Amino acid sequence: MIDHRSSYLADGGSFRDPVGQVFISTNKNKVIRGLTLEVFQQQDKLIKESFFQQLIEDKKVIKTSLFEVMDQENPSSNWHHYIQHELIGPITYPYEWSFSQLKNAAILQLEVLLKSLENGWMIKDATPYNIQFKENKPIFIDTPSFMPWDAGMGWEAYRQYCMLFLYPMLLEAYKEIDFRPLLKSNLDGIEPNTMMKIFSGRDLFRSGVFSHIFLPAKVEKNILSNEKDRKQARDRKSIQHSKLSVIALVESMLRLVKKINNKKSISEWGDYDSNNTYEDADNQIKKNFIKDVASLVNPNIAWDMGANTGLFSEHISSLCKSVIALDQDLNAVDRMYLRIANQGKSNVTPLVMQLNNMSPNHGFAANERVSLEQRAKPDLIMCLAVIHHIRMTANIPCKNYLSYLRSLNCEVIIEFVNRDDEMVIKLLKNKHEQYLDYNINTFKEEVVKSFEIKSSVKLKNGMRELFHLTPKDDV
Amino acid sequence: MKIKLLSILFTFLYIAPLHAYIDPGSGGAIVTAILGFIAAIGYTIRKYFYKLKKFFLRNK
Repeated sequence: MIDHRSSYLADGGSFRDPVGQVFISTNKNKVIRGLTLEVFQQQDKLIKESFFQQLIEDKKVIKTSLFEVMDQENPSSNWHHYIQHELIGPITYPYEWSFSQLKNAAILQLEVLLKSLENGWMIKDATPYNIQFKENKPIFIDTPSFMPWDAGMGWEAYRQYCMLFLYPMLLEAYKEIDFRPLLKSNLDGIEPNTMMKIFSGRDLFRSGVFSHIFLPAKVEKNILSNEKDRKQARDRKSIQHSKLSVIALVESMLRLVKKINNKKSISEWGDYDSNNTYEDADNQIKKNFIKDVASLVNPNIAWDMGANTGLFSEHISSLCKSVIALDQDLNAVDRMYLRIANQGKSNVTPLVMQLNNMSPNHGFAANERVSLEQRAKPDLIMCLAVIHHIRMTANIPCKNYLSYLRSLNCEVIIEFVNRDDEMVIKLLKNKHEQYLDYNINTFKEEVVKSFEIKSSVKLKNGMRELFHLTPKDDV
Repeated sequence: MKIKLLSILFTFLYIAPLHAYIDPGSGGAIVTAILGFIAAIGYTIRKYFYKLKKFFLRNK
């Protein structure tokens, strides 16, 4: 049983691997991992390998060192050997990534695996939860996944790789199906059988479909029919694989993954930066206002809710330790990611997120994967021109949304878009419900119940208004 | 009649959980053996093709 005697807490998502467990110090400045003696000795050997040091130097694998825990500090009596990992930015999940984020993570997984195989090591699993983003570059974080390669060993994580990396990519690239709701509901990924039902006969000629969807689904279907009822399961564990065949398979998968691209159609929001309805002068006032508030708050973590292509996230990034730029538009987030990742070092993390259905606490014991606020609690939230969508598209009353913002207990910049604004008129044009409660007076009345208005500025001849809100203590 | 109904119901109850003992994922070993074999042929051909290409380019 885990025994929390000291200042470390077990990570809720780290229970699947029987040979190790992650602990995070309560002040969140240390990440350590308890290991069995056997795996600890393997890690000691791995850390001394030059290929592993090269992967760390290339920022492809997280910096890892042996760690000694004093007896009274030991977070769990289950483990007596520990390693320490460097700290990385906010933890993100694959169901929050854009296509290119998933693709880069998928490439990294295979590159690290190939280097390992060439040097006599194997990676026993293949899950995107073992990959995080540091300055928007993917980095492999689960070092106990490395194990010595034994003769005859195959790529056992092949199916897991397909279910969690390849299939989501193929769904978005070939079928334009958003993979995130599927990955969010199925933490183990998408089954080959499910993919077979989505892909039709003519898809068999597309790269990867026959070999990685049709063939596995067929084999699995045969196993299901041959081993049903009281029939014995056949031994498939003893199948021997040559190292050449394992390397060749991983290489061919890498070539496939590199050439899969999503169709980047211009989305409704994708061109926001050039198509927004602001005049230059108003844009400058808006930029100055958010910059003034950010420098006043000096946030550790800021959320930009409805960030689109991240223009305003980047505008305040130098004043924050970390900015999480959230938007539900897949293409806008993908463009933002590609632009920011190409710039090199950046503390802006783009994520795909539905603002009316944010990532929840879920998985085993509703604690395996946790909400964004548990992973990266904000000190400042920007909601620029999203409140009309919250009210009229998502049907969430302003009162409820303000109450949600108040529950996060941080400073808020919010932009109210008036009913006369051309974008609101467009939204309401074909709606039966006219949302008469949506007006500046009712909005302000609701705001002052939970927040103090520190400052405000009118934009677009009063059609829009920006507010800096600070939470009231007495709520 | 009651016994018949009960036995049909029992049969379904009896069969259903048995699916839980089948591990279709273990088919991954067969799939990787097939795909690995094909990939290894391609890998070897490519390797020799590049060697030959290099050889001829050098002699040009």
